Amino acid sequence: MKSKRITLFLLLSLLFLSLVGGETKYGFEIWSRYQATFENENEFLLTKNQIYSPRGYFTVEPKLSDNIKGRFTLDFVSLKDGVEGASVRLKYAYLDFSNLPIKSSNINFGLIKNYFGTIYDYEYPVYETELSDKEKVVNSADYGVSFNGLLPAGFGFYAFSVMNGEGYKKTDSSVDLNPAFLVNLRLIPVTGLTVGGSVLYEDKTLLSPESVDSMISDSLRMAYVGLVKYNFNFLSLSFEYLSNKIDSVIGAGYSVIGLIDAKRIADIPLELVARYDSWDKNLDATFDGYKRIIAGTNMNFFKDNGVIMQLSYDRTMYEDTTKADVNNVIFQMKWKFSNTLQ
Amino acid sequence: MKKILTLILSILTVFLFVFPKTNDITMSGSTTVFPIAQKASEVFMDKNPSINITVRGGGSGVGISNLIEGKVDIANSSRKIKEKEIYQAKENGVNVFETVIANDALSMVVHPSNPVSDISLKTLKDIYTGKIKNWKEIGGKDMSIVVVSRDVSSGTFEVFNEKILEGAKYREDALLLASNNAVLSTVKDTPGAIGYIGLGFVNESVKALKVEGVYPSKESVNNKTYKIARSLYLYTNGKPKGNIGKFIDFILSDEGQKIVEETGYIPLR
Repeated sequence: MKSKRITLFLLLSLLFLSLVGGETKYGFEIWSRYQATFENENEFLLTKNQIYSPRGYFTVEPKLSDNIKGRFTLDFVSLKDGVEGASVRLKYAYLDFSNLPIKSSNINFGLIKNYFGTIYDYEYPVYETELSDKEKVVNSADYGVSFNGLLPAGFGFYAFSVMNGEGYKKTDSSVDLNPAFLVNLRLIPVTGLTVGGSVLYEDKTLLSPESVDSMISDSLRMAYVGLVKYNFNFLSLSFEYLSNKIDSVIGAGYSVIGLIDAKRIADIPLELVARYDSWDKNLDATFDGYKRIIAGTNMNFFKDNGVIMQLSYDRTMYEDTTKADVNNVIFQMKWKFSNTLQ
Repeated sequence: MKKILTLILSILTVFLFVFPKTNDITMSGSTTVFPIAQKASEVFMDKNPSINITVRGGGSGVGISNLIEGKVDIANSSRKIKEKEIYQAKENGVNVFETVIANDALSMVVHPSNPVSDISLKTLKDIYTGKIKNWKEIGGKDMSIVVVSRDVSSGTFEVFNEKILEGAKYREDALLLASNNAVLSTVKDTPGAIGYIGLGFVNESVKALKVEGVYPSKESVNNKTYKIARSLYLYTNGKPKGNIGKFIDFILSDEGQKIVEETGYIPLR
């Protein structure tokens, strides 16, 4: 109940401030998708063939002064690929304080971005979410406070956060007493090359040691990610290694994404993209991992008008050989519009 | 994997032959720099008919963002690039290179019928934050002040914000307009209006005010007595080479600097 009140308070405060404040940016984004799924054990079996809208976002960003901005985003999520309708969740609701004594730094408070790995600036070069998001290692937003900023001369980015640790989808009794701590650092030693990593740590016995007696299974959590990105002219490559340790269970995997922007070499607004994921939920267990390849193209003919079309094919191959490979053909249209009221 | 790589290479080869990238130069950004860029590109294209230059406005923020995303070759800007933009550019593989092409005096303009002719920096701040709302408070007519400003994507807006408002909040009813021309036109048609524009846009349809007793001019900018002067920039990905380098060298040449002066701005020498 307390968290709901806090959420409602933040939401109403931002709405109010956006009405009385100066510049306010509004934006809406929606994804519409056609998906055909085939499973191939012995023969191709069509198991899904539908058009639906998996996601929509409504964002308001009021600028209250040069030093204070707000942001809240409503997240419209299809339930079971739209079969059971949709739900609305609050995704972001935070205030951003800038112009602090430390140059180019900010403090965010509320339902903030989770500065873990690439989850906070992942731009969906393919339709699939970023690996740590997909494997629910972290959520893209969480309640907390973050101090973040830029290193001088664009040399990098840092963030230190203290969050609930349960993500934006959980409130009330789902939230334990113990905070999660996050450190994120990205460095750009040479233009186009980014190296970095994040560590998220949560000890669920820190403030409530009695939970040791109750033998809760998830008492210690440590997730980390290391990443390398390279952007040069028409070519973008990224590699991320992810590990998630919950007590003695360690899950690990990696994701590689390659993108060629044809617009940079020929006069055609197309991107060719491929992604390869490997994930093992428990390194000590067998048959719980998978490998996945996604290949596709992003058609940016109307990108300046806010429309991106993505066509892709993906195949998931499970470590458990009794499970059939899953193939998807997906055509997605993402369209968005935004406006700034002054 | 071999098949996928072969397929990608084949597609790229087809693209290269069917849709070859042209030698065109694209630039976008500041509406203040726009007149210089447009006039210079016209003269340059006359001299180099094989090179086509496209110039678009949008504001300094838009131009720099386009450069970072690889959409344009040159970003025109009436403000210095920000640290956040440098970070984004570096991450995107864009090595931002800055070239100063001219200087400018941010000129405060009012309706020609307005008797006020001199204004202090503090008074400007008070007007734009809403502390002073009537011209009679500063020796003018009994007439409400209509505050006209540039919009947030404008470099001119940011320079004004930094040098005059120092982070204070604008009057809520300030008119935020998308271009120097829009500000000029509104001030020209509104007796109680005050606005700010690049020196190149000042003409006889409006009255330029002295700021702290100094008129905006080439001399006052060069001798640093005019308080709200600034430089105008072109940003490129790396040190300009090829046709882009040729074009920027042209703007920096005597002929290019003459165009800067003809468009109402202050040449570098």
